[in-house]
Amino acid sequence: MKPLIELDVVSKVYGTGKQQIQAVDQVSFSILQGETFGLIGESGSGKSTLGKMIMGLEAPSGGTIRYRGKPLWVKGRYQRQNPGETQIVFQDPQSSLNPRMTVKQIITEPLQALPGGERKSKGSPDRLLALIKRVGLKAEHLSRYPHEFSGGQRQRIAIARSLITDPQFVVLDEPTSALDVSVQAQVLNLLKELKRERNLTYLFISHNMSVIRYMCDRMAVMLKGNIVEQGSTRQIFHHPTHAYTQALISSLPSLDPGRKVNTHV
Amino acid sequence: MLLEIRDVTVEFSSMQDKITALSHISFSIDRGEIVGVVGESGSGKSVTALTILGLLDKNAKVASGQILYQGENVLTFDKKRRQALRGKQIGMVFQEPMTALHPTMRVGNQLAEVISRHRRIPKKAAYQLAVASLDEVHIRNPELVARKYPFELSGGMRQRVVIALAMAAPPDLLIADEPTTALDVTIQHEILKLMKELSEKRGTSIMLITHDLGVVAQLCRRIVVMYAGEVVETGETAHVLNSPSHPYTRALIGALPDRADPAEPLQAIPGEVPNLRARPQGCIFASRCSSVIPLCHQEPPVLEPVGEGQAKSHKAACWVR
Repeated sequence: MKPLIELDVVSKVYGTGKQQIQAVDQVSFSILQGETFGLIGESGSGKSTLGKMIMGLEAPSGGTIRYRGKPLWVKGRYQRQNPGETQIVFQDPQSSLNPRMTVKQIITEPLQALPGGERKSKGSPDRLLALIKRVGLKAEHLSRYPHEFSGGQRQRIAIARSLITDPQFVVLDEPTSALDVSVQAQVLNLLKELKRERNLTYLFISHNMSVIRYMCDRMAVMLKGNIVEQGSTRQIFHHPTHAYTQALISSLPSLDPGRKVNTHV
Repeated sequence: MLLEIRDVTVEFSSMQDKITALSHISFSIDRGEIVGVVGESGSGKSVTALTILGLLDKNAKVASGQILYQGENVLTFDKKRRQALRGKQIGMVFQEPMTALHPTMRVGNQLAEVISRHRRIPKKAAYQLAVASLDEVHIRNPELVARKYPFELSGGMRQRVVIALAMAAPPDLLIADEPTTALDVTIQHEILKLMKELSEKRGTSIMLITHDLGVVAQLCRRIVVMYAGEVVETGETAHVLNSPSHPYTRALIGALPDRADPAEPLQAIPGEVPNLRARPQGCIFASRCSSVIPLCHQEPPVLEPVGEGQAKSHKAACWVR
């Protein structure tokens, strides 16, 4: 399998002068076509910044990001790809959906970046209907507003919005962190099915080890802007080598009530 | 028995309609015991805490039941007695530590104020105790941290300060509502450990409200599973999690990705929590339940022991089981 996305010593520094923060520090990894790559780390570890740099929302301060072999950023400018080829789903569907737009307007908005002909064909009523049904919503939902939906349904709307342009690659930034367990299961199942049906590649950003284990083929562990460990999810869970990864795995609240809260780091 | 909740029903009313947020719930907390109250959003777990504390909004009404604290029904207390109970006998820790702290007051002064008020000692002596209490929640350099403002501290440190505040009186019961949800996993672990340690050392009972079954498994001797404002299952944590009796508890455990085979879909619970404006005639979980029988739609099940002997304290509200 060939890499879809390659990161080569990518860095991001926020701020100027004395108040500089190294959010991402010389990070390298690649995401293969068709896989789900997990990025785990705590708040402030730089995982979302990485996602944003890949999506063109933040410019890297150093290093190169390549998409299908071509650099994404040249001299601080984002090299636009085929519009709609990469998409992102954010954590909180409460704040990532415009409250004044109907569901139909929200889902079809990304099409405006597409050339006229493509816009028409991809936004056809039949396609829209099929998509909304596929993510588990109903046709009559199209004319409603986000506040009329539950958290899980809103995240389904966000997923539909990310898929309307037929992307190849989707960044999922904590897509289920704001959801209840039972709803999280529905959304994770949906994401897995959609990936299979559409042959998608995911970058799955999360702070939840169990979710990463369930969703990802390969993963990287971030700590303070650095990747401290990367490899296949299986291997990392079986033989974590870095102390931080070990701490993450051992602090996973286990369902075995016999297991005491134990110490680490 | 430190706290006993008996058949409590809480209703919220607005101009148009009435919502039953809690429907005839009962459970109890012993001295020194850590009890986990689990449920998803809308299950009523936070409303339960607010009802115990007497912090419900004006549009809420306790429509039935009693809340016995050391044998006395706190629902009959006047405002003053209720307030004396809060903080002094019942401490509180909420999810967001920043909202519980005064943003422009140094941490040490905040603690000293509470300590001097509860123990009726001068501010200066209280400040010494405040520094000592920071040490007790394992904050390194307590003297230095006492001079800091909340915004200068990390989320985990802030939550430690809030725990120190809540334990200042010191209370007999600590109500912790999602105390670690806003924290990173590794920090979460530390905070849970701290709460357990304090409970053991001082004999403080803890009512831990959480959506995370894993947290309950680690910390709590007993568990109360809530769904849509009802207690659907309760018992010893080990018993309930190892052999869940209510279909909702089973489904909740099944929906966790923790042990799921990545090659198989997760066992999602179909549908959503029912509308609390119109409670069904029968079992509240019937519309989402996989083992439903006709009786479930006709009559609500009551919380009954699952088995004999040891399993007697393990109760579930289900017709099928």
